Amino acid sequence: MHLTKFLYPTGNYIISNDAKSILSGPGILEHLDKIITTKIIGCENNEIHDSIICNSNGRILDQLKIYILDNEAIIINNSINGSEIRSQLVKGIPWNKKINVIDGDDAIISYRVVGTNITKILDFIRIDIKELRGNLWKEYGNMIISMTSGTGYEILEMLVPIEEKNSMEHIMKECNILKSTIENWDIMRIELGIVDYLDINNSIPFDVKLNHLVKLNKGCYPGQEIHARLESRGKINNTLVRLRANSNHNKNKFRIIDGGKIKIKSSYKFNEMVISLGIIPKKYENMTSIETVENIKFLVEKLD
Amino acid sequence: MGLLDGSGFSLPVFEEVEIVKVKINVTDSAIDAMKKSMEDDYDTHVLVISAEAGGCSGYLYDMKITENPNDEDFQRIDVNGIGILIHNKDSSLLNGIELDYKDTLMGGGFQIKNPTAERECGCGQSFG
Repeated sequence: MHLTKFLYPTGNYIISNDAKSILSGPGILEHLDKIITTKIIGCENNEIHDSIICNSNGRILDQLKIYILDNEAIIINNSINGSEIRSQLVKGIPWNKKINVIDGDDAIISYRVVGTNITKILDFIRIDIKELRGNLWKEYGNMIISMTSGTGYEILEMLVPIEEKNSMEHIMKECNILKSTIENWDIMRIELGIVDYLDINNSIPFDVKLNHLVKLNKGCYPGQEIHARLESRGKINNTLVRLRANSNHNKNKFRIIDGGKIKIKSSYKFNEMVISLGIIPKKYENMTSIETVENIKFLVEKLD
Repeated sequence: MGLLDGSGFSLPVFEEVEIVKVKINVTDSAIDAMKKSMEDDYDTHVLVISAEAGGCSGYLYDMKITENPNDEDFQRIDVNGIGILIHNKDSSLLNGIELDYKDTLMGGGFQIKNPTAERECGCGQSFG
């Protein structure tokens, strides 16, 4: 799949519908560390920390991107869950800790830039791309810039004060980067294998390729007992893959002829094909195709 | 940080909790163990029992012997001259607990049984 057909030559940006929360006060990393699945204690100012937050049944509530500042952290997660995650953060604050959680949804805009020449915008604002590698964020004026990389892609993430929306959009225009839609972003992320809230919500992290965000040696967090049991007993039975079907289906559950189920999590339609991210039994992950009782053949593409 | 100096931010998020009048049960062995731990500091020090985020089930018990914070957000329960404090924000989570002490090498020490917990972790330190 050539993504360029969806992209303006230089790049596209979307305004992501993320929730933005600010955690402030001494001891915020210790507080977060007890709630999330990864070890954040020891991370330093200017780092970005990816993590997940689960319920006590080990199922994902949301994926978090945490920007670490001195005594503050900006937490980015899906907008559907903004209030729920803020509530989780507030609930267990110890009586002797002065930690505040603030809703920044109406104060910060989150821009995501993807394209073939995103360095153009970095050249414009005079930031060397090397400064953004290694999970670091960089300040430019009043905005925070970071980069997410994967196999074959680099995406710029920009957090901008709401007052500077117009100047941000002026920079985009100067750099020939056009505004795109959430639908176009969905196409790109499905093709690139970038998971979204729709793909992971209420799933076990091991089933949706988020094993790297579960650290069983960091101590307890909600869901840890379940994760440890699944891991130690080898009960990781499912995995997330990209599926292509030459059928205009609109179902989200299929039964595999050889046993097991396909759960479609997100998809888009293109030229009579439906391209999806879906959960299948792990034993089919290396197969080229699987056929279903509903008479649909899915081509299977393993995600990195 | 300029990003956080702009407008549109909310006031700190406040989670409304139900405040209940706390009753707890303390076993004789726990009273003896607390007396040993507090030595002669009964007048100035108290035992604070609290619930914090974390643990496998969502909340962790925490116990601290500390100088009396003299904070009216705490409820005080006197047990044989020892002051036990529970913060109002934790009152509905900790109401009805039984504080026990087990003098064993494995799994010994202070233990909390919580009849209102919907689930508890195997190690007994976390509940939800």
